[in-house]
Amino acid sequence: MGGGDRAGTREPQGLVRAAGPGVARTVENAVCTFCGCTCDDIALRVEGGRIVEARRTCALGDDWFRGQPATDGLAARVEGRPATAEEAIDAAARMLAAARSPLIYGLVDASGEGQAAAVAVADLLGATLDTASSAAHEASMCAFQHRGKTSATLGEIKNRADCVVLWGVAPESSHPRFFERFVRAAGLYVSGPRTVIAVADAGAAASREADRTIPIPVEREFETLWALRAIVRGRRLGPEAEAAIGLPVAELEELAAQLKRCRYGVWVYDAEPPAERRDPGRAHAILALAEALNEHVPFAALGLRGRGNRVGAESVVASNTGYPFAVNFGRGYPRFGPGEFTAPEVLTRGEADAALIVGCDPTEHLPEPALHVLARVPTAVVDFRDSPLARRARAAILTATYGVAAPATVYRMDEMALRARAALESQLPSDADVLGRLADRVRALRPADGRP
Amino acid sequence: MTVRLRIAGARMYDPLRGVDGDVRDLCIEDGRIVERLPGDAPTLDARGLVAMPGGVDMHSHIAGPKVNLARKLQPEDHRDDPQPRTGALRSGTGGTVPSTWTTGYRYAGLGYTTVMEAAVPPSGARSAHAELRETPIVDKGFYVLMGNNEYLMRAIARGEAGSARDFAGWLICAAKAYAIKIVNPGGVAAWKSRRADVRGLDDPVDGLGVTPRQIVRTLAAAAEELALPHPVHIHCNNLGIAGNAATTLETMRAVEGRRAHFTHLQFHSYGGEPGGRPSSKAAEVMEYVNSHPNISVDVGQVMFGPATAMTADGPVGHLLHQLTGRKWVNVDVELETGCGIVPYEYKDRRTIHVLQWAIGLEIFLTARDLWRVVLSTDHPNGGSFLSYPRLMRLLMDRAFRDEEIKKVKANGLEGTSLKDGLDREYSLYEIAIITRAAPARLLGLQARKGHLGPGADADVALYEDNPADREAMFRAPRYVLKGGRLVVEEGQLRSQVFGRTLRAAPSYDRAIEHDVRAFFDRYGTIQFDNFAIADDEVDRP
Amino acid sequence: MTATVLTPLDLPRVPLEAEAIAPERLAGRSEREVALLPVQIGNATAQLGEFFRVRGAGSDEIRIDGDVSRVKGIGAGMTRGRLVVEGGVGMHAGARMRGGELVVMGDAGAWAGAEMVGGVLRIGGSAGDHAGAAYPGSRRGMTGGALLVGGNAGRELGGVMRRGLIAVRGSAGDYSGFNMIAGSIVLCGGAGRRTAAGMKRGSLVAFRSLELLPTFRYACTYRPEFLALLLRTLRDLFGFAIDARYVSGLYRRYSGDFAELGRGEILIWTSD
Repeated sequence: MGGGDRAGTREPQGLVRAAGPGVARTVENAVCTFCGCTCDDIALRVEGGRIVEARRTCALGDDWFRGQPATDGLAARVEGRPATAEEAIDAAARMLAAARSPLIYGLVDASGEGQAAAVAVADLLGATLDTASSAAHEASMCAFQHRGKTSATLGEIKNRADCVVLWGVAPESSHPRFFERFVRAAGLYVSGPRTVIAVADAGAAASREADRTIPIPVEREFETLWALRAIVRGRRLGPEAEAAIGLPVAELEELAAQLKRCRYGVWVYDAEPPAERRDPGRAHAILALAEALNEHVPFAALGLRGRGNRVGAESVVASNTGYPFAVNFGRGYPRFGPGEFTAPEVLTRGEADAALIVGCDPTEHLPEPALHVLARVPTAVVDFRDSPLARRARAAILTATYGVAAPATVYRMDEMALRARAALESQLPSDADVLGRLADRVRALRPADGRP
Repeated sequence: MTVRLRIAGARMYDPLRGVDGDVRDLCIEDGRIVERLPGDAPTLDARGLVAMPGGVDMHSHIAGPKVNLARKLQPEDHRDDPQPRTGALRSGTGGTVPSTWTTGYRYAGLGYTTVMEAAVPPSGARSAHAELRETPIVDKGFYVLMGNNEYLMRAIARGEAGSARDFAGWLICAAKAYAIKIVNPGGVAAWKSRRADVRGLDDPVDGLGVTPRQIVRTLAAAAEELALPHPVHIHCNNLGIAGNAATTLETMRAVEGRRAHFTHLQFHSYGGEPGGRPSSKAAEVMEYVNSHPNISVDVGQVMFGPATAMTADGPVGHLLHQLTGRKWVNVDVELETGCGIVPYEYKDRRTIHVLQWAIGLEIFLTARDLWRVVLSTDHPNGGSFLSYPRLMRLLMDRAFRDEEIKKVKANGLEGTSLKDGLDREYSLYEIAIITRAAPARLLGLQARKGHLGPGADADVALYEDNPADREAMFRAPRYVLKGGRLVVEEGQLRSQVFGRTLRAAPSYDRAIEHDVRAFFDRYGTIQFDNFAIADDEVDRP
Repeated sequence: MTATVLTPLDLPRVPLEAEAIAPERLAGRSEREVALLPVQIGNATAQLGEFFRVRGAGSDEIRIDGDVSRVKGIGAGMTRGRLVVEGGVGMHAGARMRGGELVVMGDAGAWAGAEMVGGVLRIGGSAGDHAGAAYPGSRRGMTGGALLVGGNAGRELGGVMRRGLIAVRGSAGDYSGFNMIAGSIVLCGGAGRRTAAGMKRGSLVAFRSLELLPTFRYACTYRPEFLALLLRTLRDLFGFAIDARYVSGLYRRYSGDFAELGRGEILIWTSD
């Protein structure tokens, strides 16, 4: 049974052919969460409770779907020993309710519904709540909060953009169908070839999809963006400028002129740069530049976001609390503190006395010192993956994979929400179900005023 | 189990039934109002209190992509206004764009029990529903944006009014929306194409062979033919621009006698020349409204203090950014609409803001048929919904109003009828019309909302009468019931219930879906079969 | 006036938040009442006396005779009086303060003096990131008062600053004066990269050379009179030692930031 029975009254949605375990069937329009493109046109062949074939996927998506675990087996652990979900939820609730400074961390591989339930748990506990992508996205978010953004949904690239700037990104490897779906497809207002300009670290390989590449010294990235904005705004740069940029001013002037001539431009950048490129000013400079270009032509800044439902995590935490991540409920209401309530810092400073990891593998996101501390903090895990962390946790509850074995609301990197229906059946509960039950248990353990 | 409650001895203001301050008992059974109850039913002693149906906000911005983006954008808006967790109630934050939970609590805390989100892009319906699921107490719904829809504009350009209608019907059903919303018809499309706008009703929209007039006319007709509970809901072209009253009047004429709702009229009632200094054209606009029963409006009053401009009207966002230098969000939404967000503040020392304030009050105070004039601030564009009680006092208490008029920068009042004084004072009965009965009726909800007769949902607000300070009175109702459940007791929010999502389900010719599917396949980025909202995405399980 | 003396006891790892420690909140309370003031510890409230030994009734003069590097919010929002910490302080010390004097002898955590409106904040050691800066989303950082740092400062010192005076004896981090709207920043010991990026108006003074952004333009070399006045004020009024050669020295003036309004200036000392 797939999502067909959940479809609206008007139209069968995920078409499920030949239902029943063991019988091969095809699920159409499945949603892939393996990168921020969140492609929703995937066809899955399901046989014997497993996905045996995924069509229209890229290599990343193929791994995601075909790597789904068989959904039978273990449900939960307490202190490393097999347990029922109920027992593990109870153990997790007791541990968390006794904590003075619990941390809830992750949320990037969870359904929107599960994320909302995690916020409820954090609220009840007076916990610190942070998403696993906050460390990478913090600079972009703070830049956005300072000056806003001029952006567009992905379909606007497809339908309008005749000029695409790839700023230090090569989407063909991080977001493999980006070009096929949004840049090379014929759009409503663009049909011919589009100009694709890559601006890239002189020392690294640029996108293969670009018509031309402008190499820049990576340590001058901010200076280049900043100078380009001044030029777009009609300023003449002084003679000292060239040395500061590391690039001939004339080259930037030519680029600025080209950008101002286009009909609709898109500035594609990495909104979650790797640790060594997490410069607080970089996203700021990009957003400011796109804003300046809008005084001449439509120009959208599009920050590429990574895998899972990390945009959903921010959107759901924000709708519930007003803040996208790094939220502390210690005083009985949400407070925002990037650098203060972000998990790497909270852990490294030794401030957490219990942790609930939801929908993430911390080893992928946390720096070594924080992981080191986490290993010593009493921990509970709610995830669809069994992991070393889950095996040594105080309590671990395995869930059905969101969007594959349980329905899930997931958000694309342009913040558009999609509904991923279940292609696989699962005996395991959904993340929302587990976290909802955890909230109920915590509510029973902690008095209404939130004071232990 | 049957739950009963008798509210005894309150003075009732129930305009849909013509009840004006009579003392009557209100009988509630299983969430609805009933004729009578057995004598042993529990009783709430409401002697001396004023009873009104729960408030109905027909134009507010509380959920969906632009609202949530405005939340993310403004931590500074929330920081000093926390909503602590108490008892069973969730924590959150306020400011001009409160978190979902806080939105529900604070509306209920004012005695409002039904709220409509006024502008959701079809592709944003899913996140809007997700947020409405987390918005407690109030019944809620949204209007879906159509005035710059690429499919629809093409159908209109081809002269296929029937296709446009069926598309509108499909879209309402797919989004599980309540009404058709038009924002700056054609202007947002021009904005997305070349950062331009349209000005006149007959200006062509960027090579599409369609004009704002055609969009308005077609969708007004579509709403009627689809028998939607609420007529087409129109945000006119040229919002905020001097001289726009002419556009507004022309748009009113463009619906050709059909029913249409014109929203935040204050922002569309300016004289003068574009780019120049605006003046008040409230008198002229209201003369038309007063004499045309097919037209209804909500006011979009501005209230001094912080606001957040958030709109599908992309060019307006840009204009405000340029005027204020404040941070700016612009998101072009594929195939459908735009989005602009700018933090804003109305100041009683700024001439233009005072003028806007005065024009809103002029509209209220010169309205002849209150059944077609609804109280709104276009929350949070003209100010937070939390300023409604103050607005009610401005309308009800001339002495207070005159004092407030003395405080503002006087030249903003030039040319408005407020300058010479308008002596009208709204009665409680009239306030009940513009905040309950009229919006309920304009939404087609009058069977169950906006009144206290048998069959109505037991959404009731009970206030301590306070003629000396109507703001204090309306800011803190003594009791609020939602669906018969007491949510506010002794002025305190005590418990939470979850309201329903209101949505329309018109019939339309489903043959249109074939063509829409083809359009989606070519130009969309979401599969047609994944687009529609499923039943289990609406309301809480 | 006798100072109220607070002696930190065994402070927990879970951070303590103690905005209660500010002169106007202690003044007029008995020793016992001061000990009962609420503090936040993780997800619970507790009393000041559980973490500090209190000596003397509450007064406008407070001394903390120990290190409180893990205590947040000391002197935040204070409006008057004098608060001396004989050690380090945690985050948000003196944030949004409006008046009075907060003296920190050790280091301060991030957001020291963030969005301060008035008063004097002296940090004998180093300041963390975002000293005198705006909180996320805010239109303005510091809008008045003086922030004096004896050691180094972290990144985004004085971010979106609107008015007031910041002086740093040691070196400042990257993005000092980021997006500053107006006000004055004096850097005695150099700075990291991208100093004054996005500056609209205001002055940033450096006694050492700086790496300048391409969007600043050399204007002239001169002896700025206003600067002499400013530096004398720093020296005479605030006791912030300034060598005479800087007071009367020659400065290279760069105007910018031309990516923004461009009405600000960076002044770099060249010689006496």
